[in-house]
Amino acid sequence: MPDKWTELLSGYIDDELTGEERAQLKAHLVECQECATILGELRRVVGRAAGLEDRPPVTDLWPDVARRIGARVFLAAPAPKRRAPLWRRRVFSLPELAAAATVLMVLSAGVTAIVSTGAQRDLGIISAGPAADEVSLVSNVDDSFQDAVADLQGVLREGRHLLDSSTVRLIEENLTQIDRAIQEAREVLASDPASSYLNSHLANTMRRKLQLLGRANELILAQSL
Amino acid sequence: MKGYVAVAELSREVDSITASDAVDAELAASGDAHAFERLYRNHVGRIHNLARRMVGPDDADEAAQDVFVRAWEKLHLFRGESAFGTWLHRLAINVMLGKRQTMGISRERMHDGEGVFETLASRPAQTELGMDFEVAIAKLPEGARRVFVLHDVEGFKHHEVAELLGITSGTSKAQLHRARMALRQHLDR
Repeated sequence: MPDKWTELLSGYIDDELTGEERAQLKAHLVECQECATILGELRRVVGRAAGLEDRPPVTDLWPDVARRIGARVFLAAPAPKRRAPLWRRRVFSLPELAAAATVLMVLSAGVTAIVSTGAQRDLGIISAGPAADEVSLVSNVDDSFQDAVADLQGVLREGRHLLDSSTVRLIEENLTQIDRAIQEAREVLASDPASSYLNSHLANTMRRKLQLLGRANELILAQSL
Repeated sequence: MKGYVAVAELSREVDSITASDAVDAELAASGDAHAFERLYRNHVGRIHNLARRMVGPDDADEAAQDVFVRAWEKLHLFRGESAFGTWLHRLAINVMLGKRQTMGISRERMHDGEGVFETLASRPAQTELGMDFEVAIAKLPEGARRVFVLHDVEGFKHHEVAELLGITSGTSKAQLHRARMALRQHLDR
């Protein structure tokens, strides 16, 4: 079946024919139903290929990958210096990191308490309306969050020269968008302060900001070693 | 309800922007295995699919593992000039092509497989009409399958495919056309 026309069909689809070849093939396609049908089928093949969906592996490959890179790291660098806990690295005097970790735990616990209380209220277990201690907890958590962010951002300012400009740009872009997300979440929450879902979302977004700043700080420390 | 929709949109936005591969790549390059695991989780789906299509389902797990091990070893070469996913993808292709070579499969196979083409290109029996398209791809001769996967699935140009596989652009075009002609018999009807 291969003939000079069908051999040109893939090139036609991929726009790789010369102007003359393309014109001749177009004229042929008007007259030849078989070639026109094949062209349609080839286009469907191309479409199917482009639309193939990714499927994750059936089994988790990470344990084997971790074992293999762990073995190699151990052989290549038996001294565990690169893997020393952050708080043992003294290139920066950064008690802020420890404080931030504590605050993150407090924040998580506080939000869990808020969400739990909110969820109970949603179920009718507690009467509507924020209790005084709940408002106080929100206020305390927010203060702690702001303090931790200020500390971590101070470290970022101090060490940003150690990072690639592209990394700094990426971090700053993400922080800007997270700040916007936090602000919008606060605004939405103001109209429905008892919503456990909204409280949880705000807490998660705040937590993401701390995590991103924490990772940026880790990166600065790693670069300074 | 409006608030919930807005928050859901915000959530998706935040999820996407905080997937900061570049930061994790820097951390992983300094020895942070947790950062590397995050990179693995973000990209294993695509890499495993590439492996399944390039080297076949039986060897896909091992090939995907090889890619991530090689990535760990080569992370210091990642400069952030392209997205981490792009860098990893290119590395994966090189690893998989190298793997085939070390398994002793020569490039002469690019011209083999006439029988397979005939089998694939013949009209399937009624029970095979629903044959999975990916299974049909896997049954292509190796040379045609690699060209088809790289060009039509992964989006490389013929000159790039030719460079990767060590063939001419003309061979790449011919193999692609043969693969497409064979696979058209296995479209859903």
